[in-house]
Amino acid sequence: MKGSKFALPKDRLPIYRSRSRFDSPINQRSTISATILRRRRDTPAFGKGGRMIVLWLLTGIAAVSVAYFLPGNSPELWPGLNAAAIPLILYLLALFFYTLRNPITRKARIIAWAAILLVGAADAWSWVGMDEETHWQHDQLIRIREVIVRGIMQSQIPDALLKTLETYYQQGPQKKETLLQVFQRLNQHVTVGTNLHKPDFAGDSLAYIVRSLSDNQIVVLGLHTYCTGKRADFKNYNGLTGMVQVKCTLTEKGLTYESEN
Amino acid sequence: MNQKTEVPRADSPAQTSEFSPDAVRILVALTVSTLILVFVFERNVFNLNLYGRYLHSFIFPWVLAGGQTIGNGLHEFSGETPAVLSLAERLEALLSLMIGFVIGPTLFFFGWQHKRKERASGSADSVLKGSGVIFTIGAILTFLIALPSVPAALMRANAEHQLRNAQAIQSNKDAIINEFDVLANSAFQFRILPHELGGGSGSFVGYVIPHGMSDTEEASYIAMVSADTIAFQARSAKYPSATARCVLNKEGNFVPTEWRYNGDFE
Repeated sequence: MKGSKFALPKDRLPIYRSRSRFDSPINQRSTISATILRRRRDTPAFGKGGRMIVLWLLTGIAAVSVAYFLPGNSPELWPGLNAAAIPLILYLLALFFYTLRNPITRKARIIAWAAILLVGAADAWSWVGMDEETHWQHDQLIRIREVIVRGIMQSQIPDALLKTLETYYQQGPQKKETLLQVFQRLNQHVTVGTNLHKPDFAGDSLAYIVRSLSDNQIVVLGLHTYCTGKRADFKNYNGLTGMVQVKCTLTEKGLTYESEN
Repeated sequence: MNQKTEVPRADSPAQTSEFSPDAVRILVALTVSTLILVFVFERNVFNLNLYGRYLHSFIFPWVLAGGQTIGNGLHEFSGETPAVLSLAERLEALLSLMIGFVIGPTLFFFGWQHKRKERASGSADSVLKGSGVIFTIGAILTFLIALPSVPAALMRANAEHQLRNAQAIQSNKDAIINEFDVLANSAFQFRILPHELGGGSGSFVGYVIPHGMSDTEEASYIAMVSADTIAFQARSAKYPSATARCVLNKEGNFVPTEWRYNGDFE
């Protein structure tokens, strides 16, 4: 404006207290109500009250963050969330007690506390329920896997051995071949350690290993590389520990099926 | 922290109800806008499926954690070891917790208190003021969490009940199918073995379900025998209205078209 022919003399320029475009110059206070001036002076939006909010926020964020990261890293979010719940509850209680006071009316405080208790109880129920439910679902998935693996083994291993038994008895009373010879003929000269299972897909983790062979007894073990069995300390035939293992024994009298782990 | 309560000025109006027409209008507007937001995102209006799922997970950090746990279960199901979470994944849950349960309530309750103090001192309310903005943001965040809390908790509990019930029925069904396998092996072995070894010499006739297998923890079984086929019928021990039926042929295989499930197994 300097040098402009429209410029006002310096003592007539309006003086602004802040940069807000809604503000009026303080040297024109005759146009401003005393109430608004008092409000601006006594209760600035980001003054003392604002600093208090920032202080509370920083305290809450720091307390919850520290507790959240305390349990260390894991494949799950629950340890951190559950650890953070304790300071979070304490923080919220402190916040409610601090803010729900005068000049908030008694009626409003009662309604607010009732709502807080209702919402708090619902959220706590959801939180704890979700924690339990999802871990239950996780365990169910592992259990279902075990049921599937055992079901496949129970279906497939006896099939191969009963086929041998059927062929053996189809020879009639005069046997030309022993049980072992029939088994080796039907299964392309298997030996101890042979895996009878033909993978159904890449990465198929099932194995049916011939454990022992004799003229009148064939033992086949069913193994899985990652499906856990009943006992965590069980030593599997393939060197692993704690995995599912079943044993099928074929003799002239029939088949026995046994779950070893 | 000691709170310093402002003493209302002598010239300020007497303390009025918190639920003045203005306050009620603001609360109703916030509730309606929050409900619309929840409806829009939760009900996938305007095909906002991804955003809907994300919002639901985001406003409730336990949903995020639950999804992670089930994801881990699926990895383990496939034989993979679940990976340790990345910092970004952990920060996402922390941010959800912060926004919904720290920042939102803090802004809302301080804003509310501040507005009440202003009203007590006779100041005019304005949503354009800093305190008004803080109050509004805090209220939106707080209501976004608070309003769906009770219905979400009820729906979750109901879903859990249904899931557990369905899983229990499915487990019983799976166990019966496995026991059908055992019975089928037993019956086919009977057919193979000669009479002198207690078999049927090429026939199912004479087969009786072995002792201990006709009544198990899962079901009770009966066998309907003919020379070349055998039908097994199971009645669940846990869900008496539920039955299952299968037929074994002379090759020792189940007839695929003959599987029947009734009652709770349907």
